[in-house]
Amino acid sequence: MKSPKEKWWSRARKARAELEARFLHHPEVSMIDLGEDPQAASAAPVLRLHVRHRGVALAGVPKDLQGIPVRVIYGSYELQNK
Amino acid sequence: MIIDKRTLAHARLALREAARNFLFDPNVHLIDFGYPIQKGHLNESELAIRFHVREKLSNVALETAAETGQTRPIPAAIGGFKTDVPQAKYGLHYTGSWGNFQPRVEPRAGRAEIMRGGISISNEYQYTYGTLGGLVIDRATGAEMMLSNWHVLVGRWGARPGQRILQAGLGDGGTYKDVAATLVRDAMSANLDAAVAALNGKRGLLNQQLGLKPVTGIARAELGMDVVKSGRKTGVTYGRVTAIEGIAKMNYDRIERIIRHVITIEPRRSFEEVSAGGDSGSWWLETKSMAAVGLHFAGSNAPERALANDMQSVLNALNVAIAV
Repeated sequence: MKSPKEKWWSRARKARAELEARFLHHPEVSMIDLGEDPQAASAAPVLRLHVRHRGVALAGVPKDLQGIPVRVIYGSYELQNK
Repeated sequence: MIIDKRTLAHARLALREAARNFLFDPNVHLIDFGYPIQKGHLNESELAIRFHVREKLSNVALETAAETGQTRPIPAAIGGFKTDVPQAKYGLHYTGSWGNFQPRVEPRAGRAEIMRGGISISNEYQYTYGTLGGLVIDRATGAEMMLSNWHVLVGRWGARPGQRILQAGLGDGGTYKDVAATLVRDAMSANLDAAVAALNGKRGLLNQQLGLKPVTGIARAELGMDVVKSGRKTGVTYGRVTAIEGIAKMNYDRIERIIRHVITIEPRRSFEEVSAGGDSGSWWLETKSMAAVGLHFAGSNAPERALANDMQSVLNALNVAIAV
């Protein structure tokens, strides 16, 4: 994946901050990041909302923010000491 | 022969079915997926589910053994794959006599007289283990330190600087004789799962990663970057950066914390493992340059993903530099 220009990243960070303010407190949300599109529909990175359980529907998730697509993906993470 | 993902997935299902039905057969030693043996040679143009038996029985002997419940006939195919039944006996590869038998110590799990990244470590209170990430230098004093995670070196909200760090970790049988360092500071207040401990001078720590070349410096993770790590649990594994600039919520000693500057790493190919419990603290390095890009701290098995803190953010927060 070709990394977009700095201007794009600046916009993406703003969008991520907005998504963070709106959804990070939700108990179902485990992480928000900027990465490869799991649907492979976008050549540029997308905003990804990781949720702790498969198939969870989060109310009010926008299709995009600042023109950057938003995807909801499954991801439940644990610390990896043993 | 290159096996495509679909075939491999089907083979795994077939292997599971075979193991469920035949692995407890006393005549079956091993079940695997590979080339069948035909006329004494491996046929590399075919693939089969292979049942390695202790003794290949004639038809009459097989019928008798089956009737008495000693074994069962193996079907001609399982899960769409032909079966093959080679005869083989396998033994453990140890040396020496039973009188002075010494169990083999896994090099990542045991005490290392000369330490390097990728080996077992823990604090003195938690019966766990994580990974010693590598050697860093205090930017203020020049002191040599080891870098790993908060949850490996600190572990508890009540912990104080001076807490002892064991190599090998307690969970790997380490004791107070194995103290290698003492906790100095951590970066949890900067939303990073990272901490450093000063070496006590009894054992050296090399700028090396077990099973890899020395670390050459530092780099920023980029989408699509190929990375590698050396960890206590899964050893040397490879992955690909699929996301950056993440913000995660994790539980530390029963308190939820926000962790920032998160890099997501996924396998380069399906079915590969990138990390597991015990790898916390290992360093993700750019495969091409061996420059450090991330400090591993968490992961998930399904889907297989590893999470790491951006290395530059970690080093800045802890005021240390990688020793090269």
